[in-house]
Amino acid sequence: MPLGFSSRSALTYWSSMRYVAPLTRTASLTLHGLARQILRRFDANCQADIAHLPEILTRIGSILAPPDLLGCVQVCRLWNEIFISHLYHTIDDSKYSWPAIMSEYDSEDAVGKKDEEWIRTVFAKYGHLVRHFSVSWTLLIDCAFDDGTFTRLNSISTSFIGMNQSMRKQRELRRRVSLTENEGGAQGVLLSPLFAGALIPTSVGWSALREQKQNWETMQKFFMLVTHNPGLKQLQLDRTLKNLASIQDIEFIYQILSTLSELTTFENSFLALDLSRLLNSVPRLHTLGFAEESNHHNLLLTTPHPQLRSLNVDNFVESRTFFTLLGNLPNLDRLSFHGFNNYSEFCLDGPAILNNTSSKLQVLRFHSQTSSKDQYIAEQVLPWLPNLTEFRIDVLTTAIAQALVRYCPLLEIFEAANDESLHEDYTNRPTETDTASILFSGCPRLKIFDGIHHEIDAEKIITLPFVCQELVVFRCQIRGVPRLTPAEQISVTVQESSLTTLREEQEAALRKQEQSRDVQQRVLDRLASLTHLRTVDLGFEYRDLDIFFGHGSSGRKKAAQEDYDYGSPFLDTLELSLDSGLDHLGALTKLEVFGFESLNHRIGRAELAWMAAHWPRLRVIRGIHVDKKMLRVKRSVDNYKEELRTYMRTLRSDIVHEAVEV
Amino acid sequence: MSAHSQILLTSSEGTEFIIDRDIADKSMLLKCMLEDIGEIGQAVPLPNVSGPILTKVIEYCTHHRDDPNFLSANDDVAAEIDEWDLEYCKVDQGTLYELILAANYLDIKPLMDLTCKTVANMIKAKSPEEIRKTFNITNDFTPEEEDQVRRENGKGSRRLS
Repeated sequence: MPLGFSSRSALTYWSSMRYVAPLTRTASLTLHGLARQILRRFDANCQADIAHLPEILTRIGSILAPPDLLGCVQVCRLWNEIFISHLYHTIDDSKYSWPAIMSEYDSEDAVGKKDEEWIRTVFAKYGHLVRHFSVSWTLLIDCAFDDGTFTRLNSISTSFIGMNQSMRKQRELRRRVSLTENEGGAQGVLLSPLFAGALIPTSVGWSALREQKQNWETMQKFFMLVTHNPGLKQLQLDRTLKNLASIQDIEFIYQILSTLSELTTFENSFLALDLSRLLNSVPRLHTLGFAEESNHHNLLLTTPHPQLRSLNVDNFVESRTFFTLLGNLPNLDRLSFHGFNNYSEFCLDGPAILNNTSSKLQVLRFHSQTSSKDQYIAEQVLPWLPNLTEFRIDVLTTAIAQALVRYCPLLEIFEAANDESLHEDYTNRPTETDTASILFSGCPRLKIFDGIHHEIDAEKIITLPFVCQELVVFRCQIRGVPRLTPAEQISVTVQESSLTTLREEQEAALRKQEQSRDVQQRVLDRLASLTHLRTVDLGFEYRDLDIFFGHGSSGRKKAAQEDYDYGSPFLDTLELSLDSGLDHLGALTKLEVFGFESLNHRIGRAELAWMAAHWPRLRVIRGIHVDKKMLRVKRSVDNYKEELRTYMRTLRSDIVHEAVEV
Repeated sequence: MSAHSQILLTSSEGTEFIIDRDIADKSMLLKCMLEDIGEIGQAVPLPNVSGPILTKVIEYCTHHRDDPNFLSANDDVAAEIDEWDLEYCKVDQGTLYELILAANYLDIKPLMDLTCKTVANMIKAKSPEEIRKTFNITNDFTPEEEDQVRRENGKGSRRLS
């Protein structure tokens, strides 16, 4: 019901006060004149407060999450009227969000009939408020279509249709069975001639014929729902949609897509469509996620399509296809795919295909490129990408690093594989890990180096010119730091010995200690000069012994023999104690993340106290966390870490302790 | 236009404030106004903003004076409010309300976002009755309506708390 608050008009007027431009152009009004106008129109008697201003509440509604919105709609009529649209803005049954009933939970009767009734009532009443519909439960598709109120959607996405092995699936099965029993065997109905001969029932995942027909009908309802929303901007079709029906002819997809004149983003892992035809059917499409099946012809373009800005291909791509895409997508900013495949010779006609014109591409991401194609990428691909600002590849080799420096002067972001998967294939582990220095000394605009498996030698940090003074993220191991052996460590701490031989040893150790500290302080000074740094991650613990177990019996034998000093610190890493110069990092006032996993760091209470005091923005520490990961090899709880973590919590409870790989 | 020039503002009570041009430019209203008609040497009247509130607004703009990401500062609704901003918003509800109105009127988006986030935080994790208490709201639902609202929307709430 409408509520008469004088405040509404007042604020509406206030928010429309971009009056300056029109008024000043029409007359020689003075500012005082303007003010008089404002005063005349300003309702000075408004007695509103925060809780009764619709404009403010609407803004707040977009900040709140469903559980809180649920409380808000129950406060009063005005709040109900305002927050209800926020509450129903997104229906997403894949999350534990509102309404939880649409996820899985205790049903009110065994068949879930009451739930269904409730959902149908709610959808009928509020379906017109829903803008984002993210669905995996077929019942919701049926309800959304049957109620006919879902007509103003901006986005539809599907995930794990009919694949959920949970309570929900069991209930779903029961529901479908009961439907067929109670209603004398409901047969699926052909909803539109569009689907005749195109979709047929399939037995994937479902056994009874009647269920198959139901699923077939749900599939049709889903696509009908899409056609009921001509304002759709985003559509995501998951491959699990195939569980509902078998596709005989994909013509209907093009017909449906061609009605979506507003569609800008299409994520499709459902069907291998023809790229050229797709781009012709959907003129405003700028972001496309593309399923590519084993035949590569569906990616070939023959005419330019200037509208596409972003393309993700969920497969490997032939090098010739890559150049054809670049050549025909002149405005492509962003391209990602798994990597180049091996099916044919590497294409050397790139320049001809591109008409000797460089691409405008800014982002290139290889999801799983292996190092064997590096020479090709370095020599044939990167020279044509002078606008590249972001590049991702599993491992940075010398060839790639040098090519990036030479051909991509705008590079800001480099990302490598940061999970342990890189090491699964342990025998092929790249030998060239010390390549980071090439980028640090060659890419003046570099802001992010995200490659925790890469190393840089301490000596190189000190001697190389760092051209990337605006570096924000440094995730790289610093190795080759001269450190004392345990024996030397003891000898520098004990009292001076009277034995000549021991004294010589002690002196040698002391000299080494001095040299080690000198190197470390210079390394730290170099890091401290990068004052934009917000993330410094210096190490990575190789926790996952799958790499050994993956190699069969020999791997297991190795693990058993403890050939690998698993989980212990690397001996040639920085000591981050105050003694060795941690306080040199005091210049990094913007630091938010500091990681020292696997470093022989000798950090104690004094060092943590120093960090707590000198890095006000620090919010994540990686190095004294609880090891949550299940390990194949048992490791005892690290009491020292635990004690440090407890201590840090008393100093700065706002700091999160986590592992590098999260 | 000189970067170091100063601007005169008058609050609703007629109190005059002299601020640097770059501070004034944090307000899109003042920025557009000054760009359109130039600095004419007269005081800019702000009849909707009281002196104490204007002081508070200037304090905010001055603190964030050199913030390069000023305009996108509070865009991320999930992001934590930083310490200074948190302290800044520790004011009574009346002041917070006036700050919101001033931020809206002067068109200072990050301040608007910050103050709205602060209100949102006052709502979070509260029951409807606690929300009513916090903001002094009368429950104007009839018992039947209230029951209906609960039935319609509250079904999933059991797992959420």
